[in-house]
Amino acid sequence: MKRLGVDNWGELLTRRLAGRLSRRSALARLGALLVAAPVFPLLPVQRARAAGENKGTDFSREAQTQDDTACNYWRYCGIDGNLCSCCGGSVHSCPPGSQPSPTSWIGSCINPADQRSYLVSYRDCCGASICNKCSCIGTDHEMPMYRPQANNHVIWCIGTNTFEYHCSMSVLVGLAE
Amino acid sequence: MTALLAAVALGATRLAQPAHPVRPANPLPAAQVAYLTSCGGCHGIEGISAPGSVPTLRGLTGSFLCTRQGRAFLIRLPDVALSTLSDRMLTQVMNFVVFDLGAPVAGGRPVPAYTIAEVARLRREPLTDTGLTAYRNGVVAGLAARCEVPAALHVYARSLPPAR
Repeated sequence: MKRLGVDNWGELLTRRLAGRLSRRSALARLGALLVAAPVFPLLPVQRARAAGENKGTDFSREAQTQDDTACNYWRYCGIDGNLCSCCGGSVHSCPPGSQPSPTSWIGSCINPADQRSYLVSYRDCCGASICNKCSCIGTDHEMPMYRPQANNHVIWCIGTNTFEYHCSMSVLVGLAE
Repeated sequence: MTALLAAVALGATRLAQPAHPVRPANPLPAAQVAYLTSCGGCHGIEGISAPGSVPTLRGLTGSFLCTRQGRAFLIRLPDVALSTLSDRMLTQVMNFVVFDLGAPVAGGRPVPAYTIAEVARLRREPLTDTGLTAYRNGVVAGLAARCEVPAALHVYARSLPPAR
């Protein structure tokens, strides 16, 4: 019975491979591959993603910890309004003549000093005419108006005697992670 | 050489320290973080909120576990049931709200914590088709008939001040 050509080729190839390669050689190569593989990053996408996770948000990459009258002070990552620290108050206290609102929304900002995430309460000072200094907008963790619990355009004066907005603070609440 | 390297490393460490060092702190528990970011802005960091504008949680929410209706009411509240939290995290948050912020629980009676299955079932029936203030009055009346409840539980919220 005549053999098919493909059978001949297969036999020839197998015999050549068997003659040139030993099982030990194959095992040695496989072992070297297993040992060396973790040294090289296999997926560039994974590397880029891992690097991105360490870098935080766009805001936190540019944030600083020295000047709380500048918009890029680390605690202002989600603030929208006029900074109380420019209006006679501080990052966590209202200027004289205004009162802190008992309601706020709470977000979190990354502190560049230790790269950890801190909860901050964006609390408005109310009861005095608007302070038009240091107007800043941060959007980290802010939600659209249809989820007003975390919207920073809301006048957060609910619970005070007046809805007259004066300025905004960013009060440290605690360490998130 | 080792001493030199150590000195350089020490100098680098000192240079790297911020001018205003951050106070060391322990991370808050996950349930408390979720409470703060999902509820605590209005209900207060300690569960104490604007009098009359937002219902106070501190010392009050535990009383709702006195009746089956009260227990279900807390989970069926629209902003609880329809929150973006998972069933598991919502269960943790509500147990924090009831047993930590809201103690004493059910007039001092031993009451089991919410389970994930219970919360998952109850949140599928949010109280969106009823007047909440009236419904709450009925729930509180049921609680008062069975348990000793704080007087503050009878006060819900006055109307909000007019918008600008």
